[in-house]
Formats: sequence, C-alpha cells, structure tokens
Amino acid sequence: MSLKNEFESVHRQFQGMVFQLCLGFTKGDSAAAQDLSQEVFVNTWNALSSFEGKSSHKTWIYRITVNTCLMQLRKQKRMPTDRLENVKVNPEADTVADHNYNELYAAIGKLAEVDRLLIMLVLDELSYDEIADIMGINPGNLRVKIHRVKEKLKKIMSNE
Amino acid sequence: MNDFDELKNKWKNDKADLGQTKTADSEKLVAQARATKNKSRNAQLSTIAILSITLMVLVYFFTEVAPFKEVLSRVGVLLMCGGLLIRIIIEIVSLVKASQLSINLKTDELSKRMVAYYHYRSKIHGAFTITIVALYIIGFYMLTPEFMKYLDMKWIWLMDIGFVFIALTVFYVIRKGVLKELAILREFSAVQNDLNN
Repeated sequence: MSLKNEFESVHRQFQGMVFQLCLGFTKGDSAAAQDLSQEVFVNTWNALSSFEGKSSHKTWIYRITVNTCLMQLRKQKRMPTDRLENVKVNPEADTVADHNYNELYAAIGKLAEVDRLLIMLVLDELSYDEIADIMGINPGNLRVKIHRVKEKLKKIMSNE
Repeated sequence: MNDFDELKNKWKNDKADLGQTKTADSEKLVAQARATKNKSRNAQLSTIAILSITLMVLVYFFTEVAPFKEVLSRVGVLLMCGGLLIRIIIEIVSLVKASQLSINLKTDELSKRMVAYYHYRSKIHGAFTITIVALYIIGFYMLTPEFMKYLDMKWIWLMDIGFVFIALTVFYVIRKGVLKELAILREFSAVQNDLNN
C-alpha cells in the first residue's frame, strides 16, 4: 500500500474519532476542533513514514491526537481549572455537536487538559493497557488517576 | 457510577452522529502537510545561515579589509567572532534537539523531552545569550581606540551611539523570546506534573 493510500485509509477510518476527541479538548467549539483535527492529520501524514507498526494504527492515531492536543498549549494559554467553572460552550460553535451534547463537552472541558484527554480515552472504551501505552503512564498509577478524574467529573456533573 | 454510564452513553451516541461529519479532504491535508512541513526547522536553519554569513563577513572584514594591529582590538574581534561562533553551535544543537520531539512518542516521553528542550532554550536564550551579546558589545567598544586613529570623531560617536540602539533592539527581541519560551516551559512542566501525579 502506498503512503498516500495508507493515509487515506487512516483518515477515512479515524476522522470521526479524532474530531470527537478534539471537540472534547476544545470544550465543544467545533471550528477549533476542525482546525485541531486538521493538525492531527497533518502530523499523521508527516509521521506516517516513520510508523513502525509496533502498535496498531488505532493506538498510534490516538497517541498523535493526544500529543497534538497537548502541543496546542504552546499556542494558547493553559487556563486554571477553577476558572473554567464559568466557561460555557461557544453557542455559535455547535454546528456539528447537537445541543444535547454541549453539556457533555462542557463537563469534560472543566477538567485540566491531561485529565480531559484521559477521560475521553476511557469514554472511547480503550483498555487501561492501551491508555497506558498511549500516554506512557504506569498502569497502576493510571488506575488511580482515572478513578480520581471520574470523581472530579461526578462532582462537576452534580453541581450542574 | 450512574453519572459516568450516562456520560458514556452520550459520548457513544455523539460518536455515531459525528461519524457522518466530513472533516477536511485527505488530498487537501496532504497538500497542507507538504506546505507546512519543516516550517519551524527552516526558520532555525535561516537563523543559522544569517549568523554564519554575519560571521564570515566579520572575519573577512577584520582579516582582509581592515586588519587590526593593536592587541586590544584583536581581543575585541575575538570576542565578537567567538560569541557569534558559539551562538551558531548552540543553534545547531537546538536544531538536533528539536528533531527529537517526535509527535508519535508516548505522551509522557514527549512531554519530558518538551520540558528538557524548553529548559535548554530558556537557558540559551537567557543568561547565556545575554552574556554572548554583552561580550559582543564589549568586543565592539574595544575596537574604538584603534578606530579613533583612522576615523573622524563624529563617525566614532555615530558608530558607538548607533550600536547602543542595536544592542537595545537585540535585548528586546531576546527578552520577548525568553518570556514566550518560559511560558511554554511552565505549560509542559504542569503537563508533566499532571501525568505523573
């Protein structure tokens, strides 16, 4: 399979998944999520020739998505979590995400960046081993972290 | 955890809806990737090229056009050229380090490398660069006594005062870069902390 065909297949297969993660990371702002997903696939194309097949395409794309989201921190300032309490999802940016789902992204958006990405991988039903492989976190530590993030999310949701 | 199960269902339903979402065309993405590839590497290569050309011009000027005879002036030239040479070496090392920041590394590893890279950048853009610029300025003023033998006093004043403005501009640009890179360093130190705690 040529590099271009491989890329097309990866793009076709994972664009929905990548977009949803980006949407969660950008707190439901679909325009920002579109830009971020484009950046994920630009990075994917640039890294494709070095893909060694040690992990599946799926794990690899998740890793590039997570890393690209975090790399965004170089461009925008990190917001302290407590300041996110009053953040509402951009009402003009919900052309893709339905209104019913805005609260989902708003709740996720109130978490710190790393917690946000972690919980989205859990919601995407990745196994703990896969998440540990993507993030490079020790599996024991990961279980504790995910438990903590779930508790935080529960608290956020019960306050709404 | 009912709330979490509910969230999971919403996430799943939204995923099904988003499955229909058409993001950018893959052809366009490839074109965009090709256009932007190596953008930051090229910027660093340009800096190295500009510094190297400046160094070559200085060496040519001080050896062929106006070779200095006094020890003070020669030391001055050495400080100016030596500072530039060190700066070029630093930029090359920086370029090599940047090439190790691969997007497909495990997040924890990439974050560690980002912290190390920006720590290095803040060090070289900080005290180290200021020292090099200071040596460059001192080196330049060490040339003044010998210049005075051949040039009219008004040209000496013009050169020395003009150099102050150049130094202030360089200082402003460096400060801006340092602040930006320190902010990035703080971001990734926080990410690193979040990943490990």
